[in-house]
Amino acid sequence: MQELQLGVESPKKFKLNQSTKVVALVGQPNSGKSTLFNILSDIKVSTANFAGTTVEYKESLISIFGETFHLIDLPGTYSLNPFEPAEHVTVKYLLNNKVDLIINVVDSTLITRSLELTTELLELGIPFVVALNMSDETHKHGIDINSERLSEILGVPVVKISALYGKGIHQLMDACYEQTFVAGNKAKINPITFTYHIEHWIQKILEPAETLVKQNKISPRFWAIKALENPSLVDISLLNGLRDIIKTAESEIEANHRTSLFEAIEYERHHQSMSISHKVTISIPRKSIPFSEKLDLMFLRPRTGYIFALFFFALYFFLVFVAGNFIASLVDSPLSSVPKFYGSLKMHTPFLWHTVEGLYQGIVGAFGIVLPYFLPLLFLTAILEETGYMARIAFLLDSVFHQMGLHGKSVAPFIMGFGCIVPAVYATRIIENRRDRLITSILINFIPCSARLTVIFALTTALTGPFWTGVIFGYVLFAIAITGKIISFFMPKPLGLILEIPPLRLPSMKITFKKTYFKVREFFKVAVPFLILGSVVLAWLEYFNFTYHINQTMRPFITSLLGLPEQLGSTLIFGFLRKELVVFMTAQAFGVTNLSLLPLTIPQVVIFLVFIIFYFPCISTTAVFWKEFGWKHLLLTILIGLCLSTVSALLFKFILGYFFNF
Amino acid sequence: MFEMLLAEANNEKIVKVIAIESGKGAKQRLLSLGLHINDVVEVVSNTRFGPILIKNLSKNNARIAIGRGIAEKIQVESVN
Repeated sequence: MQELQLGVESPKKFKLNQSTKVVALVGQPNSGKSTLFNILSDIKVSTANFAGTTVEYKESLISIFGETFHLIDLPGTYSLNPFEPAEHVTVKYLLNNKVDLIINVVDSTLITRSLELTTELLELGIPFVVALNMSDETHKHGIDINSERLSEILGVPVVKISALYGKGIHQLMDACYEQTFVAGNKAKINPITFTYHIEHWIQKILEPAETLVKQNKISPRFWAIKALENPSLVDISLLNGLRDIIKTAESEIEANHRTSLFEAIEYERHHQSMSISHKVTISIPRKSIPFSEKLDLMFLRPRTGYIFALFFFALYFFLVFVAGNFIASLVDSPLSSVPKFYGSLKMHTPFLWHTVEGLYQGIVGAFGIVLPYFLPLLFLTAILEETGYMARIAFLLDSVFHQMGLHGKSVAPFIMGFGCIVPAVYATRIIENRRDRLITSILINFIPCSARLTVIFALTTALTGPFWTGVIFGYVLFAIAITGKIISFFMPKPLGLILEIPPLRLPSMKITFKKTYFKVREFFKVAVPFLILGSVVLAWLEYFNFTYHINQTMRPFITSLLGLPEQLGSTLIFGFLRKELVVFMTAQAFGVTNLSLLPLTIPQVVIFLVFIIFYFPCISTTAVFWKEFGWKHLLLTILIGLCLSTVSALLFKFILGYFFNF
Repeated sequence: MFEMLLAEANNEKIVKVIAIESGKGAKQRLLSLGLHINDVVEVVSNTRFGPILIKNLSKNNARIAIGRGIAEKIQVESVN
């Protein structure tokens, strides 16, 4: 079984022969698409109960009755008029790639709304199977679906499944095989026809479009409808006079129906899907409101919601702390017994000793300091996403984020940022508005991530006590809010929050564990090599006495301006590799084995910490940022960070100097 | 029949959407999330600050959180 994850822009990496059939999973967010993908491919990718988890598409080779299929899980999209960056991935893929079969995954409990995407997908004219997912839950929601009737109306097979419990999967595979190999082009799909005032415009474009899109294997009808509805998605310049046709169509609809062409098409589709939905669903009496819905109301209504949220977050960090300490204590003793094995090298071959020591410190950093806290943090974050609680937090904190010029959708990246900035940067892809996405991405850079928290906790616990931990933490959040306010002042007004709140669901432990495993694996792939390599480079620099030169270069800034000991200059260089390296570096720079022996005053620790939190993103974040937003945005972020860190450090120097006579 | 803005509707009030006067982007987003004119929705949570949570009774009770600014541009009428 092969498995591969693709970036948004990266080309197909599977070497496929022409005969391999491509099957695309398409559905609205939270329809259980990824769960179905996991079952079909038997490899687990991220699935979550929060809108927009599959931001890249995942693919896998699967075998159905001996035939190899190339299965692609496309990001969830509400319609084929994309809004979020992740939705663009789906629409672009369907417009530009050969797809032999679409499995449209539908949340049965939301059938009325979901059918709008289904009717739109049918316009593609590709062999099609509807998978009515979560069909075991419909009765709880008071509906019953007649899948045979739906199949008759749409002209495609409709299969009731439950991806979570693995029900109906065999029937689904039967239908897929049948549609691809037996029915093939003879499949009788019934795309909806529009009323005359729109349909005659489609017909007008259809004929010239037919010759144009034949080689692309896209249905000319789909192309024609999109040209009218959302001309930015297709290359309208390919057809002479098309621009004029669209313009005339727009003004005709505008004059006769007082609505835009886009809305007119959207509403027709809406009415058609409503009428299909009425034909195939029967309302059945609902038993009393289930407990989960009553509980959910308490999570969502602000008065009780904030109390629950506070409780959950206290619990969240408490559990991370307890579990982290426990795991750290497990790995501590085997790790600390290692140095005695290579201690003898120090006398005879000091260069080799430095190299080994660097390697060792890197491994201690990864396994002894970062991993113990990373593991419970990722696991609990996965649970928050799986249950759908993250969407509740987004709803509750929307007004708080408004103060920074953002809205509730930025909450998820912010919370993830407390774990690690790298996944948080990817999580910004669910923010549809470019402005909001850019501001969020700049701000999440300054969140005390687990690495920064390590530095803050290590140094304050050893040298200043918990009061200053609180001061620094409070200041950091305040500084982020102020920075957000300042940046958004220079930007246009925000669009506002529109977010689906999916029902609360019990987390599947299997999926939560797999999700944690994938994130940890990612951490080892991306971050651990940097950590170990950085640690070795650091040891070499020390061996060649290079840190002295770095300290001398940085002296004017570090000592004269900020009033810190010059030894701290070199720690900044290594903090760029990974933030938590600052702790070992500081200890090494002063040659102490215990942090409490560091010759630093309380003001110096505080100034150093506020500077180190903001000054520069770590190397992994920098790389991800560059890839995601381009170098201009990266430079801007770094510049804002340097300004913020210097201003903050000077502010604390001024205030603390007053109180401490320093 | 009484016309008002969605942002003004109280908790548990059931209203019908009459018009969506927001910008094009927000309008498109609401449409794709299944909120259309003539839909009957229940206000689940509205606290005079922060976003409004609605339950779309016409669309299998799908719940959508709508920022206050947008909810101030959605006209509704009372149905109960």
